[in-house]
Amino acid sequence: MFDKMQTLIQKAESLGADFVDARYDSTTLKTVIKENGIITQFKTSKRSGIGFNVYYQGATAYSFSADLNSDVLESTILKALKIAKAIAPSVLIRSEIDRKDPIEVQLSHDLKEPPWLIDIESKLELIDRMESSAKEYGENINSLNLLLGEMYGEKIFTNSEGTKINWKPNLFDIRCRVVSKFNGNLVTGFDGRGGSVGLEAFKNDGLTPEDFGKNAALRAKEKGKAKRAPAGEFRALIENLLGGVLAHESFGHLTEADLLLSKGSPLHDKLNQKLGSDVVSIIDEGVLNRSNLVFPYFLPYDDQGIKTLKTILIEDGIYKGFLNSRTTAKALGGELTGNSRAVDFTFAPIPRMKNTYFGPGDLNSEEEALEVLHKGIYAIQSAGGQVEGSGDFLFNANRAYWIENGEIQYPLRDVSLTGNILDFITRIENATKEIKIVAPFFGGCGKSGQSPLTVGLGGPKLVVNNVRFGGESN
Amino acid sequence: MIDFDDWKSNLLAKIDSGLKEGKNLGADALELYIGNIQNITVQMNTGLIDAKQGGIIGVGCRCQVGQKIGFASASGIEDSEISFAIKSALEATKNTQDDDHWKTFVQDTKIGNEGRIDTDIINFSPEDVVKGTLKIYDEAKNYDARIKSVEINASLSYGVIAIGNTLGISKSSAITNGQIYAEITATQNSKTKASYGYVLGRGIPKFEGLGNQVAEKTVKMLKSKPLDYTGQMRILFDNDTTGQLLQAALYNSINGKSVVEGRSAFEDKINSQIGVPFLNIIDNGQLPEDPKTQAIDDEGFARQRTPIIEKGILKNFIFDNYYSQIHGSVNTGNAKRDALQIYESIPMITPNSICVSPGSKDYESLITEVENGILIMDYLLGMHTANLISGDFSVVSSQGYKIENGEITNPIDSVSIAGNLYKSFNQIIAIGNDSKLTDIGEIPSIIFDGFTISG
Repeated sequence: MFDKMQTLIQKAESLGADFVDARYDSTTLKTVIKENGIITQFKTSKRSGIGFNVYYQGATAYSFSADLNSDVLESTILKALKIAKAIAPSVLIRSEIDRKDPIEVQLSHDLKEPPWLIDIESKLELIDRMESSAKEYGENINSLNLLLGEMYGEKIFTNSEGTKINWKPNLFDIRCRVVSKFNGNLVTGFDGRGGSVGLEAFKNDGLTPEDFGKNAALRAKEKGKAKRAPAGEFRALIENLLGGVLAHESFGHLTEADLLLSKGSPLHDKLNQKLGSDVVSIIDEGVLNRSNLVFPYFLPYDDQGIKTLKTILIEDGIYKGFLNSRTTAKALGGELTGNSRAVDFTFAPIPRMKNTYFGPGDLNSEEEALEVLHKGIYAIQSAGGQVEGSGDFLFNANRAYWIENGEIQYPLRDVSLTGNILDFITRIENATKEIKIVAPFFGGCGKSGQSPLTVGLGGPKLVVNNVRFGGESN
Repeated sequence: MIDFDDWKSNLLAKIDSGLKEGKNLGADALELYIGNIQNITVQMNTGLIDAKQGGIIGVGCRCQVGQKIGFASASGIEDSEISFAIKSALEATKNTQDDDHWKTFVQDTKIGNEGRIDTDIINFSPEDVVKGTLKIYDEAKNYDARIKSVEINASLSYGVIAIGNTLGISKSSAITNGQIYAEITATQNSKTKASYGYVLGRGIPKFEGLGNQVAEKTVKMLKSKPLDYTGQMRILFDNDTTGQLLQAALYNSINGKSVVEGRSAFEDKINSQIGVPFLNIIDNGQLPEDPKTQAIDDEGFARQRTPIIEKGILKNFIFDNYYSQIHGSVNTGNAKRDALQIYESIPMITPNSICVSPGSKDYESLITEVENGILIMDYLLGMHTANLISGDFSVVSSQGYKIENGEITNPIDSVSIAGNLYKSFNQIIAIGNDSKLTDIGEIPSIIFDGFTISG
C-alpha cells in the first residue's frame, strides 16, 4: 500500500504539487442495540478508502475515493491538484507546512482481550448481563435499551517526506438506558462506559455489565421521586464527565488553531493571559494509561502523521497552549501537537481534540467536595449540550441533586446549566484529586460537518460558584 | 454530460445481481440500497479555504432469514463490496432473535415526484464555488470593521439513490442540491456576537447578498443589553426558531416507532385537540424546491404529503414500512437513512419537511400583537437536548430583541427559555403569513406565550 501511495504522490509532485499527504483509512464499525428483549439492530459497516491532501502555492485541496483501483486513484489525486491550482490565486491565508525528517512507525495494541478478536457471542453476553441486572433492580420499567458499539481498523499514512505510519485504532463501548414510568411521568437512567480498552476492563469492580444495569435501573427509579429543579444562580458541584464535556465542548474547541487563525475564537489574542482561577488546568492528550477510571481513546498519531503530545491548554488558570495542525503550526507558531484529525477518508484533517480533561485539584473525596459546596446543585452526567463560538454554552445534566449543609437532600429532575466558559472557569473554586476519563463510541465530537469523531473527555469533580441553571417551566 | 437515466439503470442492474446473490446465499428476502452522491464542498474560515471533491458511494443491505433481520454496509459498489455487505448482513441474522413483528419489505409500486433536477449543478466547478464563497466573505468583511470571523460552507451535490428488493421493487431517484451556510462573529470591546444565515435549494445557490445579510444581523447584536427579567412573557419566534421548536416537538411525538413503543406523548391523541384551532401542519415529502425531496423514501416507498395537525387536531403519525405494519396504519413514506456515509444507515422514521400553513398576520402585526415581550431569531442553542419523552426543554437564544409597546427596541443579551414542547401547540397566540423554506420546512413566524424566560 505504501508503494502504491508513494507512486501517486510522486506523480502529483511531478505535475507541480508542493507537498502531498496520502491516507488510507479502513474501519469496521459494529453496533448492537437491544430494546425490550429484542435485538433491533445488529449492524456492521466497513468504510475504506484513500484521501489525498495536495498543497500547491499556499492552497490546499482534498479529494478521496472509495474505489482503490489505480487508475481511479490517479484521477482522484489529480483532481485535488487541479482544485488547489485553481484556488491558489484567491488564497488569503496560505496553507503551508515546514518539512521535517521522515519517520517510520508500525504500532500494535497492548490489550489483553482485544474486542475485535473475541467472538460475537461473548460480546452479546455482556449486554444480556446488563439487561438481567437492570430488570432485577428496576421498578416500573417502561423500556430497556442496551447498546454495544465497537470500532477497529487500520490507518496507513504516507507523505512527500517519505514518512510511513501504520497503526490500528480501536474502541469498545457498552451502555444501558432504563426508562421507568412513575405517576404518568417517564424518567431515564443511564450507565455504561467506552474507550480504547479490551474486554478485561469490564471485569473490574464498578465496571461490570451487572454494575451498569443496576446503576441505570436505580437512577431511573430514583428520578421517580425527583423534584423540579429551581432556576437561577447556585453553587454547583460538577461531576467528572459533565466537567469533561465542558472542557471539551466549550473550552477545547476555542483552542483549536484554525479558529485562532481566523480569529473566530475569543482566545485568539489571549495567549499567556490569566483566564481561570488558580486551580484550573485543562489538558489535551493522545495516549493515556488505562485504569478503572481512565478509559481513553488511543491516538498515537494524527492524520498528518504527527506524534500526539500532552498539550497543556490551561495551567494554574493561565492559557498556555493550543491545538495545531501542521499548517496552523506554520502560520501561528507553537508546537506540532498532533491534533490534525479527520472523521474518515472522505474528509481532510482539521484541528480537533484528542482526550481533553480538567486537571486535578486537592479535594480527597466526593464527601469533601460536597462539604465545600455546602449548598447548591450537584450536577452529574451530560445529557447533551451545545456551545457557540463565543464560549456560550448550555448543557443538560442527566442526574442532579439538591445539596444543603454539604449533604444530598433530594434528586432533581433534568437540569440545564448555561453560561460562558470564560466566565465559568473564573468561578471554579476547587476540584477533586481523582480523575475520570471516557471515550464513548456512541456520540462523539462534531465540527465542520465531520461527525462523530471519537474523542476522550473527563476530569475531576469541580466545585463552582454561581452557575446559572435553567430550571423548568411550570 | 451525465445522463441520470443511464446512471439509475446502471445502479439498479448492480442491485439486481446483488439480490440474486443474496438469494443464492440463503436469504429469504433481501433489500439493497445504493447511494452515489458526488459532492464539492468549499469551506472558508475567514482566510482559510478548504476545498474537496469526491463521491459518497456505498451499499447497504438488509436481509431476512426466517423472522431474523440483519443489516450491513460497505463503502464502494464494486461486486466484492456489495458481496461483503450481503454476507455480513446474513451473518447478522445468525446473532439476532426472531422479530415476530417483521412482515415484509416494501411492496407498493407507486412512485412520487423526485423534486426539481437542476443539471447546471453538475458543471459548476470547484473554482466557481470558491469564487462564490469569496464574494460572501468580501461582503461580510466590508460591511463593518467589527466583523471578526466569517465561516462559510458551500456544498453542491448531485447523485442517484437506488433501491431494490426481492419482492420486485426496483426504484431510484435523482438528487441535485446546493446549500451555503455562513456564520459570522463580530466583536466590540470584550463582547462577541455570532449569527448565521443560509441559502438552500436544488440548484446553484445564490452567493450574492448572504454576506451582507448575516453581517448586518451580527453587528446589530453588539448593542445588546441584559433583559433583566425572569418570568413569562410573549415570545415571537422567527421562521428558523419556530422550525427548530416544532421539529423538536414533533420529532418523537408523531414518530410511529415511538407510538408503537409507548414513548410518544401523543400516543392516544389522534383526533384530539392538541393545539390552537388555527394551527395546521403537514409533513411534506414532495416540496419541489426542497433539497430533501425524493421520489421515494429510503426503503422505496413513494414520498407523499401527510397531514399532521388540522385545525389543532392531531390527524396522523408518520410511519415507515415496518412500524406501519405493526401499528396497522398506512405507510407515510418517512423512512430515512441518515448518516455521514448515508448507505451505512438503517432506515429510520424521520419527518420529511415540516410545513406550517401560514396565518393571516404580517410580521409587523405580529410585533404589535406581542406588545411587551421578546423576538428571537436564528438559532436555539441546546434544542436537541430537550427531553423528548416529557417534552421539557430549556434553550438559550443569543439573537433576541426586546419588544416594548408593540415595537422592537434594543437587542438583548442571551436569554434562556424553558417550557414544554407538547404543551407549546396550545400556547400559540398568532401565526404569521411570512412562510419561508427553512432547512426544516416551510415555516412562518409564530408568537408563543407561557414559556419561562430567564436573562
